[in-house]
Amino acid sequence: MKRYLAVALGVLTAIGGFVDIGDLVTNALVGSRFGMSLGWAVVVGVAGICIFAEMSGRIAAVSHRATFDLVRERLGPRVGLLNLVGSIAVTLLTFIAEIGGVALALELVTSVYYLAWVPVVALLVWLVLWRAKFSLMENVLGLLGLSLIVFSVAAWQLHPDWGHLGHQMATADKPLGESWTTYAYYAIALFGAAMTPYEVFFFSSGGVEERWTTKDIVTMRTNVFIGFPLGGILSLSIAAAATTVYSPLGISVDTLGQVGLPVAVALGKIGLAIVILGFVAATFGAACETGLSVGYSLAQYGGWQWGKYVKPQLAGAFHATIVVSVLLAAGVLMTMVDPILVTEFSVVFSAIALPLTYFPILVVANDPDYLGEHTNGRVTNVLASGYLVLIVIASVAALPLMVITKMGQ
Amino acid sequence: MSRLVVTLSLLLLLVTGCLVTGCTVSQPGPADWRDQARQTLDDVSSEVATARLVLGQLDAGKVPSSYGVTMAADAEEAASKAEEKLSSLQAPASLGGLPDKVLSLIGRATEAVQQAREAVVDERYDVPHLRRELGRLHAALDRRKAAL
Repeated sequence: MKRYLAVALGVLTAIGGFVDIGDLVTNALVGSRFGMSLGWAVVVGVAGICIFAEMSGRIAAVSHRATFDLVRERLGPRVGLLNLVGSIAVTLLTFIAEIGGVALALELVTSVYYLAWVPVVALLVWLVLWRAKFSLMENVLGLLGLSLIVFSVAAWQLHPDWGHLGHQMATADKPLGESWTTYAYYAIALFGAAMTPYEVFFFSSGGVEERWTTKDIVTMRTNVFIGFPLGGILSLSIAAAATTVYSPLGISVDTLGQVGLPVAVALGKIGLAIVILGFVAATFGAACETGLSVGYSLAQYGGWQWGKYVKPQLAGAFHATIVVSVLLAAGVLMTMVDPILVTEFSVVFSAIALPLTYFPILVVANDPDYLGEHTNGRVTNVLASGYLVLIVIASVAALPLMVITKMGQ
Repeated sequence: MSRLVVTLSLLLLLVTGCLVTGCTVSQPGPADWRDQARQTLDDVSSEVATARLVLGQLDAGKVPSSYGVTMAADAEEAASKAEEKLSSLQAPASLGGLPDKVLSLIGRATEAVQQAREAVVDERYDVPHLRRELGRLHAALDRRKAAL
């Protein structure tokens, strides 16, 4: 019974923890402008993150070592450094966006300008990363993040023409006023938002922190293959609600307030209160995950002691990295840079950095020296190789499309 | 060594080029100006529709005032930024009176969004005339965009 409860809790936190500021903003923006015609990009992205998260979780469970640790050892310090620089830059950008997201969510509740919240949020994130237990952080924020299910209820209550939404999604039917280059740009943004690199670092490092063994592989797979796709349904619900409310009015989403408003249209103030709780939990949870991921990446590459279970005196460099990241994130936000713009950059740069993250994972997952009998099977390798081709195409196309479309205008 | 010198020289040339082009006053051609105007009309139209929707939801009691204030202020700020971006472009003389007409419409729309924000802050949600005006401006912006 206890095992089933642990599995259920894992699935629920995987759903609640799946959506972050990138998913919230990108899905609502795309829904308002393209309807459900880009829903396939979410589905493809979610399937991709499932494949690679399972791989990195399996690596952690079998080898008891996290991604960067093995990448440097297996592929050498140069490739490891390339992997580190690309991934850490994107994770830091995402960290900044998440802290900004929490501040924006608090502004919606209080009307107090978000900049006043930034130092408070940064301090709270650091306190949680410093003091809170790993399981507490993951479970509480993951479960609170589940309140974003209210988007699915809202989408249902808005009584959309489901046939039309389904048709848009099935036929990838681009709206008349939009160009194919903009369509491709947002497809890559959605793909990048779903496959954000920090998710696998956090997942594998979390597995090491929680001392997963081969016995935990089934639980891990259940979390990944049930929790993540259900999280993906949340993303599609956000897009569906935005499509239903905003498309007929010609509104394009560019603020967090606009992301939540369709819920108020459908369910009133109670729905809105739940969605704001979800915003805070999802962005705060993701801020903790990205903050830890920056520390994990650097410490694992540098061979330092790391982890929330290690006493701070023994993992000084790891905790110092987190402190510096928090200060840097707060400092960048205090320059008045728009957090939504940072979010848009983070999902596109995430797509650019994807090959640097996922190729080494595929190499390590095929090495019997680390995984013994648990190396990738043929089906996994075929799927992962197919995804690597997609990832490289998305990575190469992202920057030119960003320039050509002037960031999706 | 010579490769390094060539690379550094090219880089210096590129940076100088970027600085020179980046520091000149923007003078777009007619097509570029129309593109920017279309984008601005689209952006302002979206903010006008947002302000109207927020007023409606506040009037229906579906949104708390703090949320409405933030959304209305965001809409006002975004509309003003879009207006400022277009008005800072030097309009080509060949377009005649078109830029003035477009900027005047955008100015009226931005002002209406500002009035909506003032109404929201004052908690005056039952403002049918303002909502009608926002609706009219939204349609006018879309028509103007289509005609450009």
